[in-house]
Amino acid sequence: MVLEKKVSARVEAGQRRVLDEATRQRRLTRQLEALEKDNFQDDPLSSLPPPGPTARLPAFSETEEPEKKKRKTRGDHFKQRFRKNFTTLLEEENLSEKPEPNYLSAAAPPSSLPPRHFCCVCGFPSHYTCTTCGGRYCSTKCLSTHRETRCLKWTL
Amino acid sequence: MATLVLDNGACTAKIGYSQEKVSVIPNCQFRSKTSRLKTFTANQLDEIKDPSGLFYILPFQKGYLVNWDVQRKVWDHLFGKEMFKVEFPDTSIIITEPYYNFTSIQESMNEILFEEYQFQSALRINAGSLSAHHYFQTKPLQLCCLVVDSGFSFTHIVPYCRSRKMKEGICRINVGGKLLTNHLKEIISYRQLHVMDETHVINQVKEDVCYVSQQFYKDMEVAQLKGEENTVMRDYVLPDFSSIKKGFCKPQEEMVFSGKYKTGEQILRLANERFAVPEMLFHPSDIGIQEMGIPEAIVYSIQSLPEEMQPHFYQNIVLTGGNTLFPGFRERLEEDLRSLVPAHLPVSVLLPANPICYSWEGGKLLAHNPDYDEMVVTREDYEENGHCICEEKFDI
Ligand SMILES: Nc1ncnc2c1ncn2[C@@H]1O[C@H](COP(=O)(O)OP(=O)(O)O)[C@@H](O)[C@H]1O
Ligand SMILES: [Mg+2]
Ligand SMILES: [Zn+2]
Ligand SMILES: [Zn+2]
Repeated sequence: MVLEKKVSARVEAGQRRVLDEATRQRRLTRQLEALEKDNFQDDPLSSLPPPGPTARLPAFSETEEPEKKKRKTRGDHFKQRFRKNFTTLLEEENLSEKPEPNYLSAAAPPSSLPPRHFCCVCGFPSHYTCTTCGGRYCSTKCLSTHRETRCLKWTL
Repeated sequence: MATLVLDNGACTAKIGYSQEKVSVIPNCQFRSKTSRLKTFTANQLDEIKDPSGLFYILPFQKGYLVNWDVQRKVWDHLFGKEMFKVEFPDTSIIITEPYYNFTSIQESMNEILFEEYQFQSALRINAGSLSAHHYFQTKPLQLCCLVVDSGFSFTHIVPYCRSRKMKEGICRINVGGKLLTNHLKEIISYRQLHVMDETHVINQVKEDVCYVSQQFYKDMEVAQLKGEENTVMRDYVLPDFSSIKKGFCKPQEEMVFSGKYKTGEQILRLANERFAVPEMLFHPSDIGIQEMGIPEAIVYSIQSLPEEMQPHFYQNIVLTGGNTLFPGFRERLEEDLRSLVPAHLPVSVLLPANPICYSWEGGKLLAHNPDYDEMVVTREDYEENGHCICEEKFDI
């Protein structure tokens, strides 16, 4: 019964789109980048409707404006130099030309243990690979959830 | 003269005068849905009555200080009259920075400490070096130790021989508490309830219910069982911030295995998530990060050191940073190391009583060290010699 289902899933897969290695890699990179995000939602401040001329914001003293004006010492110099993101700072370190050990060489190398596989739907150990996207699944139930929800989504 | 010790973490600042106790304070700013115009700084978090959908503004990115506007707001608040009331001309500061901190960040640090705040003197140092100092103070007979620091942004493994850090052995795994929380958020959102906006709440879930498995595949089997046999499963009652201020686990005897709770609270049901999330510290490749996990990386680090020293490191491993608080962390690490390290070498892993503040405590000890005055750079030194005196004296 289970075996039969597996076979039919394979046949079906034969007619499905298959993502190439580069796309799979891009997808993984994007998933890992998402795990670095500080927030998923937008800043509540930026999502405020702009105040109209009649609808002045009542709690104006709560905004940061007055405080900012007060504290303008050498602030502007700081603003330019001190507004660089991680990638820019890392590039400026120019580490490929600096002696090791350094930030780059300190990264842990890949593991020599065999990779383990988990169902991308339920998280339990998995034995099967989705032929379309390379994602893992553990059962026909999880495979169909996977296809309906994620399989070909978020592919650019 | 007073000495202020500040372990400036990417998640929390551990701060206090060297004569006093430590405070752990969020090192960031927040905005909330309920008062969108206001920005809350550091421990003003406590003023937010409903922190659902809490928005974080963090000064650090990947463990490095990039947003100085935010950092200075937090420091202004910490140093100011509401909190530590720092008298800058009479205060020395011990402040921590990450390993291999970028040159430009180090220079900004000098400028802000000496030119903006005008501290009388400063000692900039890695948090792990303070931990090593702490370790050697409590175990004066040991010559070597291996500091494992698993914090918000990443995990470092760093060998120390007495006060000297052995740079060639430093190893960084890009897995920290932030990634674990985000991963938990992501799998809960996919499997049962959309919580992507609830970093604050889910971080608490993580700290309340996750643990490090001692028998990973066995726990996987148990987590798949139905009903009461599934001893891994927990039901977590989410806070609603009116009648339930803080989330909690349903006591096991009150768990309803089939059907709904009559009490009407919002529940998260967690099974393999409880141990699969912290497992990423041990097997980052489980989610596609092609790096060694902590046990393997420890062996890799130690093997890069002189052979006659290696046994000393295996016997003096000390755990610091918030992630080491997951129940079972120490035991699992020791067990995994046991299977990787030759049988004749003893392995010993120490989990201190407070791994988050272990390095701060080390800083406190250092402030009372007779050599302390030799280690700092004074504002006068800096004004005369600029960055190079700091570069000479500080080992970052
Ligand atoms: N009891 C706990 N169990 C698991 N993780 C914890 C616990 N307490 C704190 N953490 C996690 O530890 C991380 C912060 O650790 P810390 O060492 O203070 O980091 P940093 O020094 O980078 O600020 C956070 O991701 C937090 O969720
Ligand atoms: Mg830290
Ligand atoms: Zn599955
Ligand atoms: Zn697929």
